[in-house]
Amino acid sequence: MTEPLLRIRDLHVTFPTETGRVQAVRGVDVDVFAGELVGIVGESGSGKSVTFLAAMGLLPKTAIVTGSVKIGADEMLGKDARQMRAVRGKRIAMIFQDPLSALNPTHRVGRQISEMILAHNDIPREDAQDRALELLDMVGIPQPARRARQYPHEFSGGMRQRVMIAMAVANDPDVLIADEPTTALDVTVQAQILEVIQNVQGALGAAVVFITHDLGVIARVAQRVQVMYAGRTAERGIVDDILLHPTHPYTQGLINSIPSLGNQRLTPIPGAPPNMLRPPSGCAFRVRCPHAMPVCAEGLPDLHQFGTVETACVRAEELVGIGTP
Amino acid sequence: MTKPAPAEDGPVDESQGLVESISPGRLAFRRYLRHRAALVCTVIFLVIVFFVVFAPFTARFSVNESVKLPKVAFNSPRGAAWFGTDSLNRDMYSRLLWGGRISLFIGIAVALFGTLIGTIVGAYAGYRGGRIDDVLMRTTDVFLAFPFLVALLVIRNLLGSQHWITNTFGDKSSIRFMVVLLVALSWPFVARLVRGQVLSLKEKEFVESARALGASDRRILTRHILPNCFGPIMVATSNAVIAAIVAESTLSFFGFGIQPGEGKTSWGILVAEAKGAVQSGYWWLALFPCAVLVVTVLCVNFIGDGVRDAFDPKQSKARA
Amino acid sequence: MVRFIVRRLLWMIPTLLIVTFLVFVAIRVGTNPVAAYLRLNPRASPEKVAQFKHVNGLEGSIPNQYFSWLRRFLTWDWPRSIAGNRPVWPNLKDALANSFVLGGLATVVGIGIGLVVGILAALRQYSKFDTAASTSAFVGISIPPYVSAVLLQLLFAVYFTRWLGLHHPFLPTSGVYPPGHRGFDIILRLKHLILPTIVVAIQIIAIYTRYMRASLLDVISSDYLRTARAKGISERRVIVSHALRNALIPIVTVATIDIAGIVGGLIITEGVFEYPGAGKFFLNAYTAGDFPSLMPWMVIVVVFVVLFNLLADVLYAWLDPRIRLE
Repeated sequence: MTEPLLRIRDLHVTFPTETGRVQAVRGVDVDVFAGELVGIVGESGSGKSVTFLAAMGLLPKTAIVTGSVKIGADEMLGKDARQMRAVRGKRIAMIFQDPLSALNPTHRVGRQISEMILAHNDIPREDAQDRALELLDMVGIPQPARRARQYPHEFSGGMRQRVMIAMAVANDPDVLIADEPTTALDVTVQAQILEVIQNVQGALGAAVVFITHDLGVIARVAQRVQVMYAGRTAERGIVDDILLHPTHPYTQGLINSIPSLGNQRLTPIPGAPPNMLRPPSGCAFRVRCPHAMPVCAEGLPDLHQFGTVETACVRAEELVGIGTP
Repeated sequence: MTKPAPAEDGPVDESQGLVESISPGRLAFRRYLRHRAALVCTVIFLVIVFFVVFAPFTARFSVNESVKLPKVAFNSPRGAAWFGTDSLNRDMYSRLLWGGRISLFIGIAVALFGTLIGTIVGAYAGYRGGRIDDVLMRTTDVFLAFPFLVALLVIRNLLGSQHWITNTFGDKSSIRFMVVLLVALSWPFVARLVRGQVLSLKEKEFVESARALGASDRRILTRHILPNCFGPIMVATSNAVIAAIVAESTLSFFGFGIQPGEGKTSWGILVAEAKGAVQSGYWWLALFPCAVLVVTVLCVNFIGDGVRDAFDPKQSKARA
Repeated sequence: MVRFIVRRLLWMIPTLLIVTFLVFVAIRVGTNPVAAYLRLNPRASPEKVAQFKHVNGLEGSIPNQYFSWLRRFLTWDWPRSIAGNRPVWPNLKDALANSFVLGGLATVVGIGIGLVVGILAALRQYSKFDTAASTSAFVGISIPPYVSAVLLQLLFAVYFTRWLGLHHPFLPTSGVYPPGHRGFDIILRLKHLILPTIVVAIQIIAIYTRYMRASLLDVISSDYLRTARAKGISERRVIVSHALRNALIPIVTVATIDIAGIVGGLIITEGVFEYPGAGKFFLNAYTAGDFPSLMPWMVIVVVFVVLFNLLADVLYAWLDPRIRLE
């Protein structure tokens, strides 16, 4: 049994703010093996992005991070700034959500990629530039030599995202985090980008984390999926198992919220997103859950094995068979 | 199951964990209250205004009255005259209050009228666009090409030579003329600002939907667009107060403003009177008017800053 | 780029014509040149008055007056100043040179210090340095120039002198050289420049500190800076090559807007310190209603501001590739 390439245990992230301490991540475990793509699903505020920003050490200095993040046998959370800089971009890299704002508007695209290469490789500038052109070609950008001399605003949305991908994989990272890479794109372009990511993963053999709020995308590209709510994991397992037979009412709610051709009415999840300054005690979803019981308020539920998936719903066994409310 | 998580505040209730809703105005007000510097300065400013407005009660002498002291002029600060006396042995403390009446009156009057006119013109120009907008932008461009003082002086001459203006408002050294002059030179800046705001808001979807619901232009402007400009307009008003006070005092300092005498004085005139005496070391003549002026301007600046922060906090946005 | 510049320069011409026309009308109507002339030359004969009117193009309708003035102005056939019947240009030239020295020095010092302090304050946000710098900048813009001028005079000319027991003022408060001095002496020149430079520089430092700090903070919290950090490059590279590079762009706009403010500050400072620069020139001409001196001054100031704006626009486009100049 191989060890997961990315191994996150009991991660807690708290942000002190003027109005109190925001508990963005409240005890999260993540395992990603080499060559697999794990999808992370959740609403805004679920902590899905913060978890991996913490893994990369990209949170503001005021953030309080505890737990363990291991890439291979290497623990990330204890590293000082210089050690983290050696790791970022080399062992773990990120593709950000909005490439227009994530790329420097005043630097040419080719330079932004070769900067990534030069940061971790002591090679001549020309070699880095050549490699940048190869990368642009690999992600499917035509006329790479001409394009490399252009600025981000001269690219379309999909092309910009390809540039971001090329930049992220420039140094063959072990772990690749894709933070909502298709959210800002049209649906048709989405499909192309997903293909690029899959190709890249195949070529690298990296462990890929794909963060999104779109279940449809998960169904297409992910092998396993982890559903997050209010800074904790709701359930996780193989994609087909979770999407076809969800064990957690939140996942069920997400699936029900998707408009489909047959249904006449939409069934949204009632209530409002959780206030992460003072989350509800116990299972945070209980204030919106149609199956909530007093037992749900007692203590933070951990994941337990239920069939082929791990779930945090304490009533999962009782609720089998209760589908659409 | 892990140990029960400690409840943050008291017993569990259904509203816990939900984000509360609050109107933007109330939100801004609350944020303003948290801005310590702005609060302190609001208090200080109100104290100054109080003292100045109630000068008949708070002043110890009238504006031209001489204090009976052994030395007939230039007494340093003492019990009988808290801020010292000037060349005619007039009490500086009282003169500061009487002068403040005029300086503050001008500042606030100019800000009010200037903002009012500027908002109306700017909103109209921004919303309608077209010829009026072009004319507005071109004229303000011309104004901006000159240093404010130069434009002020040139317009002062121009307005002062028009008899219909001097007959209505008084001649170049009167307070009313000064107000008219400063209003004439401040409304274009407010108009530019409001125009910019209206232009950017005009394209927003809530305006489109209001129009789709059949709202008239006037209704859209007054009920939808302008309330969203409230923050920047308040900031523009506070800036206008400062600009007016500084402009009036600068003009008076150089002799182009209100003429002293007839019981009139302003903070600028007081600093001007101190200019010559500085060489002889009568420091109180310069220090106190300068201090009061700077403190007032500083306070209004902080208040404006607080208002701006209240409506548009510069915190980085929370990430999911 | 070249086409853009040429186009802008061509546009300058009608703009200048319109602006100078408006200024001409404003000043012509506002001052009363004939009355001013008579005030300063009370014993002038009717022929002299008529000649004065003719030379200054004060006959005929307003547009005619403007064009005759314009013609004389462009052919370098400038009427003489009302005060003392002296040619305008030599005095104006010297005054401009003096103002360039003062303004240039204050600008270099002011922008230099302002940018550096602003950058440091942004990099150490919320630290004591930041609070001190931000508050000082705030106080700086709240002090009108004439106030700081008077207070500095008080402090350095009167009190320092007294405390140090000197005969002459510790720092001079007026003029370019002590009265009666002849020739060029760099030390004396600098001594006389110190106080006025400080006064003008205070405003500049305050403004640039605030804007640089705000701009850099904005950039630091931007997405592309997070991407830069995600690459694992050195922090120094992040700050210089990414953050500063982008943060300096909006500063150029500040410079454009501020130039008129600097000129205004110069006028006031030169007035208080009796420094014979273009500002004092303007004040003297204005007080005397000296029309022949005022108009060239106005034209030069307008041309200067318009050219400066053009320069700033070009610089902005060069720095920010998102701006397309065509």
